[in-house]
Amino acid sequence: MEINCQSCGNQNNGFLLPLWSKTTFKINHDGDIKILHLTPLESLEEKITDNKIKREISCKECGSDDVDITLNEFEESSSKGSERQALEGL
Amino acid sequence: MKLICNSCFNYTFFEADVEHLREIIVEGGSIIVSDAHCEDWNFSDTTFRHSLEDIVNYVIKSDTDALTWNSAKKTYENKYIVCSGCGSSQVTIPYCKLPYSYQSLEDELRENQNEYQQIRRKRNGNKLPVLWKPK
Repeated sequence: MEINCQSCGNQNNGFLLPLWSKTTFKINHDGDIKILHLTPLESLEEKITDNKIKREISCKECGSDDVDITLNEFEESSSKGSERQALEGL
Repeated sequence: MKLICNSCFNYTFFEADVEHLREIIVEGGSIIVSDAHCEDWNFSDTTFRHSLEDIVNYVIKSDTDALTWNSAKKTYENKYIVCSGCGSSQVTIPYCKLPYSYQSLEDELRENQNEYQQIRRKRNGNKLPVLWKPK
Protein backbone atom coordinates (compact mmCIF):
# COMPACT_ATOMS: atom_id res chain seq x y z
CA MET A 1 0.00 0.00 0.00
CA GLU A 2 1.17 3.54 -0.75
CA ILE A 3 -0.11 6.90 0.39
CA ASN A 4 1.08 10.06 -1.38
CA CYS A 5 0.25 13.67 -0.70
CA GLN A 6 -0.31 15.48 -4.02
CA SER A 7 0.45 18.89 -2.49
CA CYS A 8 3.78 18.45 -0.72
CA GLY A 9 4.91 15.07 -2.03
CA ASN A 10 4.91 13.41 1.40
CA GLN A 11 5.03 9.69 0.80
CA ASN A 12 3.88 7.05 3.33
CA ASN A 13 4.99 9.11 6.30
CA GLY A 14 2.51 10.76 8.65
CA PHE A 15 -1.11 10.95 7.56
CA LEU A 16 -3.94 11.81 9.93
CA LEU A 17 -7.25 9.95 9.98
CA PRO A 18 -10.13 10.54 12.41
CA LEU A 19 -11.88 7.45 13.78
CA TRP A 20 -15.12 7.63 15.77
CA SER A 21 -15.01 6.11 19.26
CA LYS A 22 -17.64 5.73 21.98
CA THR A 23 -16.26 7.14 25.20
CA THR A 24 -17.44 6.26 28.69
CA PHE A 25 -16.54 9.07 31.06
CA LYS A 26 -17.14 10.22 34.60
CA ILE A 27 -17.91 13.75 35.78
CA ASN A 28 -16.35 14.35 39.20
CA HIS A 29 -17.78 16.56 41.92
CA ASP A 30 -15.36 19.34 41.02
CA GLY A 31 -16.45 19.19 37.37
CA ASP A 32 -13.39 17.36 36.01
CA ILE A 33 -13.97 14.77 33.33
CA LYS A 34 -12.28 11.40 33.71
CA ILE A 35 -12.19 9.01 30.74
CA LEU A 36 -12.98 5.41 31.72
CA HIS A 37 -13.19 3.45 28.49
CA LEU A 38 -12.89 3.77 24.70
CA THR A 39 -14.84 1.60 22.26
CA PRO A 40 -13.91 2.06 18.60
CA LEU A 41 -16.95 2.51 16.37
CA GLU A 42 -15.03 2.32 13.07
CA SER A 43 -12.24 0.13 11.82
CA LEU A 44 -9.38 1.38 9.71
CA GLU A 45 -9.52 -1.67 7.42
CA GLU A 46 -13.18 -1.07 6.58
CA LYS A 47 -12.54 2.60 5.93
CA ILE A 48 -9.75 1.79 3.49
CA THR A 49 -11.67 -0.88 1.60
CA ASP A 50 -14.88 1.16 1.45
CA ASN A 51 -12.95 4.00 -0.10
CA LYS A 52 -14.25 6.38 2.58
CA ILE A 53 -10.73 7.13 3.77
CA LYS A 54 -9.97 9.41 0.81
CA ARG A 55 -12.53 11.91 2.01
CA GLU A 56 -11.19 12.07 5.56
CA ILE A 57 -7.44 11.44 5.45
CA SER A 58 -5.10 14.46 5.53
CA CYS A 59 -1.37 15.01 5.28
CA LYS A 60 0.34 15.74 8.61
CA GLU A 61 3.07 17.85 6.97
CA CYS A 62 0.99 20.33 4.99
CA GLY A 63 -2.58 19.61 6.13
CA SER A 64 -3.83 18.98 2.60
CA ASP A 65 -6.61 16.47 1.97
CA ASP A 66 -5.48 15.87 -1.61
CA VAL A 67 -4.07 12.44 -0.86
CA ASP A 68 -3.67 9.56 -3.27
CA ILE A 69 -3.95 6.01 -1.92
CA THR A 70 -2.75 2.98 -3.87
CA LEU A 71 -3.87 -0.27 -2.31
CA ASN A 72 -1.77 -2.60 -4.45
CA GLU A 73 1.09 -0.75 -6.15
CA PHE A 74 2.35 -3.95 -7.73
CA GLU A 75 -0.88 -4.46 -9.68
CA GLU A 76 -0.20 -1.45 -11.88
CA SER A 77 3.39 -2.43 -12.73
CA SER A 78 2.37 -6.00 -13.64
CA SER A 79 -0.40 -4.79 -15.96
CA LYS A 80 2.00 -2.32 -17.60
CA GLY A 81 4.49 -5.15 -18.13
CA SER A 82 1.89 -7.35 -19.83
CA GLU A 83 0.71 -4.47 -22.02
CA ARG A 84 4.29 -3.81 -23.10
CA GLN A 85 4.83 -7.46 -23.97
CA ALA A 86 1.65 -7.49 -26.03
CA LEU A 87 2.77 -4.39 -27.97
CA GLU A 88 6.20 -5.87 -28.59
CA GLY A 89 4.57 -9.04 -29.85
CA LEU A 90 2.54 -7.02 -32.36
CA MET B 1 -23.84 18.02 39.47
CA LYS B 2 -23.52 19.14 35.84
CA LEU B 3 -25.66 16.60 33.98
CA ILE B 4 -28.38 14.21 35.07
CA CYS B 5 -30.18 11.28 33.49
CA ASN B 6 -33.95 11.83 33.80
CA SER B 7 -34.58 8.06 33.71
CA CYS B 8 -32.34 6.70 36.46
CA PHE B 9 -31.06 10.00 38.01
CA ASN B 10 -27.44 9.05 37.42
CA TYR B 11 -25.29 12.17 37.44
CA THR B 12 -21.78 10.69 37.20
CA PHE B 13 -21.27 8.20 34.36
CA PHE B 14 -22.09 9.03 30.73
CA GLU B 15 -21.16 8.06 27.18
CA ALA B 16 -20.47 10.17 24.09
CA ASP B 17 -19.17 9.65 20.53
CA VAL B 18 -15.89 11.47 19.94
CA GLU B 19 -13.50 11.53 16.98
CA HIS B 20 -10.09 10.11 17.77
CA LEU B 21 -7.34 11.36 15.45
CA ARG B 22 -4.86 8.64 14.46
CA GLU B 23 -1.62 8.84 12.51
CA ILE B 24 -0.94 6.35 9.72
CA ILE B 25 2.54 5.44 8.51
CA VAL B 26 3.15 2.97 5.72
CA GLU B 27 6.35 1.01 6.24
CA GLY B 28 7.41 -1.96 4.17
CA GLY B 29 3.92 -2.37 2.74
CA SER B 30 2.25 -2.57 6.16
CA ILE B 31 0.23 0.14 7.92
CA ILE B 32 1.30 1.37 11.34
CA VAL B 33 -1.41 3.17 13.29
CA SER B 34 -0.35 5.28 16.26
CA ASP B 35 -1.06 8.51 18.10
CA ALA B 36 -0.15 11.67 16.25
CA HIS B 37 2.74 13.52 17.86
CA CYS B 38 3.86 17.08 17.31
CA GLU B 39 7.45 17.30 18.64
CA ASP B 40 7.01 16.06 22.23
CA TRP B 41 3.28 16.75 22.48
CA ASN B 42 0.67 14.04 21.97
CA PHE B 43 -1.71 15.68 19.51
CA SER B 44 -4.20 12.78 19.44
CA ASP B 45 -4.71 12.72 23.21
CA THR B 46 -5.04 16.47 23.51
CA THR B 47 -7.59 16.86 20.71
CA PHE B 48 -9.57 13.91 22.06
CA ARG B 49 -9.81 15.39 25.55
CA HIS B 50 -10.67 18.83 24.19
CA SER B 51 -13.37 17.39 21.91
CA LEU B 52 -14.97 15.56 24.84
CA GLU B 53 -14.85 18.68 27.02
CA ASP B 54 -16.37 20.71 24.18
CA ILE B 55 -19.27 18.28 23.87
CA VAL B 56 -19.99 18.32 27.61
CA ASN B 57 -19.70 22.12 27.86
CA TYR B 58 -21.90 22.59 24.80
CA VAL B 59 -24.66 20.38 26.26
CA ILE B 60 -24.48 22.26 29.56
CA LYS B 61 -24.55 25.73 27.95
CA SER B 62 -27.09 25.06 25.22
CA ASP B 63 -29.64 23.58 27.65
CA THR B 64 -32.64 22.38 25.60
CA ASP B 65 -30.95 23.13 22.24
CA ALA B 66 -28.98 19.89 22.61
CA LEU B 67 -32.26 17.93 22.78
CA THR B 68 -34.31 16.58 19.93
CA TRP B 69 -37.90 15.32 19.94
CA ASN B 70 -38.32 11.60 19.31
CA SER B 71 -41.86 11.22 17.95
CA ALA B 72 -41.81 7.42 18.27
CA LYS B 73 -40.91 7.44 21.96
CA LYS B 74 -42.65 10.80 22.57
CA THR B 75 -39.75 12.12 24.61
CA TYR B 76 -36.93 14.60 24.26
CA GLU B 77 -33.51 12.98 23.73
CA ASN B 78 -29.99 14.28 24.00
CA LYS B 79 -28.20 14.17 20.64
CA TYR B 80 -24.69 13.98 22.09
CA ILE B 81 -24.59 12.29 25.51
CA VAL B 82 -26.14 9.05 26.74
CA CYS B 83 -26.45 7.72 30.28
CA SER B 84 -23.91 4.97 30.93
CA GLY B 85 -26.04 3.33 33.62
CA CYS B 86 -29.32 2.73 31.83
CA GLY B 87 -28.52 3.71 28.23
CA SER B 88 -31.16 6.43 28.16
CA SER B 89 -30.72 9.54 26.01
CA GLN B 90 -32.76 11.69 28.39
CA VAL B 91 -29.70 13.47 29.69
CA THR B 92 -30.11 17.12 30.61
CA ILE B 93 -28.74 19.72 32.97
CA PRO B 94 -30.33 19.66 36.47
CA TYR B 95 -33.65 21.55 36.75
CA CYS B 96 -33.93 21.70 33.00
CA LYS B 97 -37.20 23.34 31.87
CA LEU B 98 -38.25 20.43 29.74
CA PRO B 99 -41.79 20.51 28.32
CA TYR B 100 -43.79 17.35 29.00
CA SER B 101 -44.68 16.87 25.39
CA TYR B 102 -44.05 18.38 22.03
CA GLN B 103 -46.86 20.44 20.54
CA SER B 104 -46.94 21.61 16.96
CA LEU B 105 -47.71 25.25 16.13
CA GLU B 106 -51.00 24.25 14.51
CA ASP B 107 -52.18 22.40 17.63
CA GLU B 108 -51.19 25.27 19.88
CA LEU B 109 -53.10 27.82 17.74
CA ARG B 110 -56.17 25.61 17.75
CA GLU B 111 -55.99 25.17 21.51
CA ASN B 112 -55.71 28.90 22.18
CA GLN B 113 -58.29 30.01 19.62
CA ASN B 114 -61.01 30.80 22.22
CA GLU B 115 -58.66 32.87 24.31
CA TYR B 116 -57.64 34.89 21.22
CA GLN B 117 -61.28 35.51 20.29
CA GLN B 118 -61.96 36.85 23.78
CA ILE B 119 -59.09 39.33 23.42
CA ARG B 120 -60.43 40.48 20.03
CA ARG B 121 -63.92 40.98 21.43
CA LYS B 122 -62.53 43.12 24.25
CA ARG B 123 -60.79 45.36 21.72
CA ASN B 124 -63.29 45.41 18.83
CA GLY B 125 -66.56 44.40 20.50
CA ASN B 126 -68.82 42.50 18.13
CA LYS B 127 -67.68 44.44 15.05
CA LEU B 128 -66.06 42.55 12.22
CA PRO B 129 -62.44 43.48 11.46
CA VAL B 130 -61.99 46.19 8.80
CA LEU B 131 -59.62 44.91 6.14
CA TRP B 132 -59.74 47.92 3.86
CA LYS B 133 -61.11 51.46 4.10
CA PRO B 134 -61.43 53.89 1.15
CA LYS B 135 -59.47 57.12 1.53
